[in-house]
Amino acid sequence: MAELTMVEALNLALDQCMDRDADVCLMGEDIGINGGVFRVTKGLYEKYGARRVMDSTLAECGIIGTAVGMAIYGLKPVAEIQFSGFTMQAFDQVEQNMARMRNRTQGRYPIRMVMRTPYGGGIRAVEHHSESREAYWAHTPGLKVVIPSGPRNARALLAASIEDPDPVVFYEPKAVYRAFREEVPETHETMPLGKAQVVRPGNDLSIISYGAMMRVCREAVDDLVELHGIDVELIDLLSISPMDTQTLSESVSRTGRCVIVHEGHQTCGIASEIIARLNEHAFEYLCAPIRRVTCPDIPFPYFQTEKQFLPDADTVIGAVQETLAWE
Amino acid sequence: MNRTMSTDFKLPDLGEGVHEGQVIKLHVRAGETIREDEPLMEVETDKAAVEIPSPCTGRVERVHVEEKQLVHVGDVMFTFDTGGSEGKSATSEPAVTIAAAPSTPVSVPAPSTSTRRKAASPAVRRLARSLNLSLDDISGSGTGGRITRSDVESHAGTATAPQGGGSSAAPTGIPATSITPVAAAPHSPLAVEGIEDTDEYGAIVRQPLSQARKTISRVMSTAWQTIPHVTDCNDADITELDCMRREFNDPDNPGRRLTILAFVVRAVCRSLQAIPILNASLDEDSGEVIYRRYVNIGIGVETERGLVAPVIRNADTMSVGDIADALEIITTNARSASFGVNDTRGGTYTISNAGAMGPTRYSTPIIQPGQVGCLALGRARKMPWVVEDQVVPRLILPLSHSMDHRLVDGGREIPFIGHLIEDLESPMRFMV
Amino acid sequence: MPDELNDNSDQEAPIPATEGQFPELKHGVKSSTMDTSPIDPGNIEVLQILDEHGQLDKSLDPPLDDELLVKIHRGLVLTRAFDHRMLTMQRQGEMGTFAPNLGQEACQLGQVIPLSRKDWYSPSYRSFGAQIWRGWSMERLLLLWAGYHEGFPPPAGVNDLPFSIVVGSHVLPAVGVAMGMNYKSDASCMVVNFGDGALSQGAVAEALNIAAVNAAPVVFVCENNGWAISTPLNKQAASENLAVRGLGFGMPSIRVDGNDILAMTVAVDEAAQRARAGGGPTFIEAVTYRMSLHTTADDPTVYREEELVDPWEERCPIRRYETYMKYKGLLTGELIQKIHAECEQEVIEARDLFRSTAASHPREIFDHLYEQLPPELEAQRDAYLRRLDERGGPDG
Repeated sequence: MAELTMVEALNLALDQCMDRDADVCLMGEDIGINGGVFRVTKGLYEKYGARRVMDSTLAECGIIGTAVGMAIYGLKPVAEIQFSGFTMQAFDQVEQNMARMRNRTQGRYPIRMVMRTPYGGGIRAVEHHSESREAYWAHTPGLKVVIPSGPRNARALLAASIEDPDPVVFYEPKAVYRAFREEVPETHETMPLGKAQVVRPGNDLSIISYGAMMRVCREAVDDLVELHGIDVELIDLLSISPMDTQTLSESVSRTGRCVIVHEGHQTCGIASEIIARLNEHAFEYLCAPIRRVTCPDIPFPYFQTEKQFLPDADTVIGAVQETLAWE
Repeated sequence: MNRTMSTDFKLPDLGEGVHEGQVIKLHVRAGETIREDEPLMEVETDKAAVEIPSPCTGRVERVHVEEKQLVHVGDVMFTFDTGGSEGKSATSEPAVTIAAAPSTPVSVPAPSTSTRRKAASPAVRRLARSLNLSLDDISGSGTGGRITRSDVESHAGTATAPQGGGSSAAPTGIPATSITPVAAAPHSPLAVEGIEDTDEYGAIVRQPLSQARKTISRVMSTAWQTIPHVTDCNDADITELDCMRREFNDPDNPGRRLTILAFVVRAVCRSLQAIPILNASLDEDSGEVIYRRYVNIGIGVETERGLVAPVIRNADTMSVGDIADALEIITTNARSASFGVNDTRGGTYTISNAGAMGPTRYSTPIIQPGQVGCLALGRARKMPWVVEDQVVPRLILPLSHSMDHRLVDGGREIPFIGHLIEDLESPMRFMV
Repeated sequence: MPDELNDNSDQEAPIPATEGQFPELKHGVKSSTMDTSPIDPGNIEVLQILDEHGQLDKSLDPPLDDELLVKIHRGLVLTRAFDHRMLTMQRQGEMGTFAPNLGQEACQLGQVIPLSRKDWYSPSYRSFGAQIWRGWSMERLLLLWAGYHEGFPPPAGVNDLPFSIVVGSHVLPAVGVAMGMNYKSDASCMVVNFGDGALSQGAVAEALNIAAVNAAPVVFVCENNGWAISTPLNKQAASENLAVRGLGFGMPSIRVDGNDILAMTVAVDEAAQRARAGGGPTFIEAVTYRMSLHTTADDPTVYREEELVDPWEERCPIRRYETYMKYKGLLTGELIQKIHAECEQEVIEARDLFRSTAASHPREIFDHLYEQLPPELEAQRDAYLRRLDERGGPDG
């Protein structure tokens, strides 16, 4: 099995999906001849041609709106928005048409498309290149929201998203794009959407996280297990919407304690939804209040202060210890 | 064929939140005829001046409004006589726009310290519930007086048991003996007071028996040696009883809490009335069975002096609520061990709520001399149970019933227990 | 008002018009005429075949067969009758808020007459005349505007997009559908309709640009009816006319008298053929006038003087077409009255059918959100259905 970075894994997924289904097509700014500014679509223009790999005009709203039209027509577009911060310009088309066309037409025009975009901080980027706004999409009925954490699950989830009959917002943690390599099988592989993964089983406390923060959590978990003897259960959410409530509640019902870690802002971030669901399904078994480790409610700062802004392993460890000490 | 058909026409919902308007012009008068779609009236709303066409063909019987009048959606404007002709009835229910009431912020006053609930995490509350304990009885050692798991467990009398851990083996002998093991490493100092000494094997501490302990020891010994004990172990499905108990709300006594024990006492009284031999006494000297018309239930409680069984007199005349009140008093007194001798005399039957002290299931309770039966309650727990051919989780209360086989045979004891279990499993029966 | 416009029984012969005199279009000013002089930059052609007096430019008379011409007349009359009935029903409390299209009948129908079933149409929320022509039953449109979700799906076999309440948001998907046609080498076209107000939206500008760059087979019909609620054209755009916008994005553009059904049909037909043949998009500015309200919740007397509207009474699309049809010998005054009555009857029947069948099923509101409901939504739906059952009432 080859060891691939996330970029290479995503490229593999796109290539294989395009190979298997002639209706899968790509569009976005600089994705054709340039291969994408992060090189995720590298080589696909040469292989499949300009008809199937379309370089778009500089118009995010236009990219998504026309992708919706192509999906209405019966194709399966995978539209790239160069940075997730630019998706806001397409918000009307996502909310109005991508998410609602099936419902508006009572099932006559389902929208089988993927909006994929790099998100999150940690790469010392300019303004609007580090946001984490998955909460906006999770709050929109009709969408699915998927966030991988590593090369293998990125490949499998992207393939599953392309094959899914519903519209998917696919957030790629850019801090992880080239951060590490992982074994990724050559043969076509998918993972079911809507399922979380228990990365490390444990009994003392559940950590729930996703995206780039999984690396931070793994580092914290190593410390907690080896140095502090705490039997932590680590869960990778993978699908923000639909969310795997059952796995989360089973875990927290068993451990009684939980810490949630994400980059998105604290207020109305994904952690608040998780806590609401755990309140509904695991309340009786809680031994301590559920903690969240997130970014504060301020705009992502200019990159010199990025490190202090983002959650790190020490912050997570501290939160876990405080939660365990709560009596 | 000249039927009249009167239909009212109400001001329709003109859309976009409009709910009233002013009549500008009326195009018809009473007595005139009008055709469907011909203009009826003009109404001015704050959005627009709107002409309303007639919904039907007929004669205007009555005009209910005047020009310049303020009208609301749903008000009757006209009554038509449509003479039974075709034409839509003018009484389609308009959607009445209801102005949303402004939401008044509700400020929740902080609870005063005197009425503030005890603080405890959900898991701790659950634990207390399963042990039939009230958080009000437990003092908290956590931050800010919060009740912790170990607070609950030590109150119940067990060590810090692991969550979901298996039940410990039922203690033999007297269920009221509470065991508080001290986690003692070999040769660490014992936390008991007494005279330090040694014997041939090592260090010891001598502690003289208290008077109470001497008495208990003697009584237990006599009971065991003279009474042929046979213990019948059984279970009662108290799922419904527990539900009822939780939902019980006495408007006359809002603070009153009912415990399972209170219900058990009541049910036992009924069973004793049904099978009176269990409420009797054996007098071997005079060769008599002495039946008692009164029922005095002794409640085995653990005090710092040891096991005591204060008596609830005439328990058979008391309601469950009254029994609960009596038990409350007993519990309070037990803490201060302030029972007088007379408090413990005159019992005809004894019940011990062993399960309140820990995960005990079945035991062999020792009968009080002078009585012929003693019932020990184990700890109620959820167990897989068969109900109507389905395996479902039910709350099961273990019962251990010892009888004096000199006087009581199985032919009496078994129906007694059967009666008791039936009551506990169909609680409505014995609430009457 | 409709009666006055259609009373042309005294006009048996077309009135000769003065050479070269056309109505001028300048909104917000008392008198309006249509300017046909060439405009810099570029030469925006202005097309009019049938003027407001019913005078025909014979050199431009399209070779449409008699059957179609009669069908067109019926379509125009039916559109107006349906519009009027919708308004009446709204005032009687039976219909929700909607946007009447009085005066814009020819503009609408002209957009869809040249289309086949394979072609696609993306209407605005005012285009129900065109939707009826495309195959929507009047009953379905009544359901839609009265708030029943059963009215929303396009009928089977009708390649129409739903209109967009958010102005202009439908144009990008329409372009996307056309791009899909290119992808599949499908020799069909998409006609997308939007108003003068919509043209100010950034999303519409993006759509025009993308269509031109990608040679998408789109016909953009900008229905310039002079008003975006209370905003007149001269407050909406500073350009000389709207057709130059299309030119600005690099596509053939034309200005058409929107009340001239023949001009509309010819212009759209030419654009559709260009699109189907791979020639890319066309921009058509169709000049008409919003004779009625923006929507039934609007009062134009607040912002618009009646004198502005009056000249447009003379330019009624139906009146001039009836003149034309009489000239062609295909209609008489008597026949016209008969057709008007028949159309009215059709509309009444649709209304009655709507009244007897309209019922939305509240149990269905969770359907058609995803292909399959995720567990969380299933739980929400179950709770919702339980509430419905507990409360009883009409079982949707």
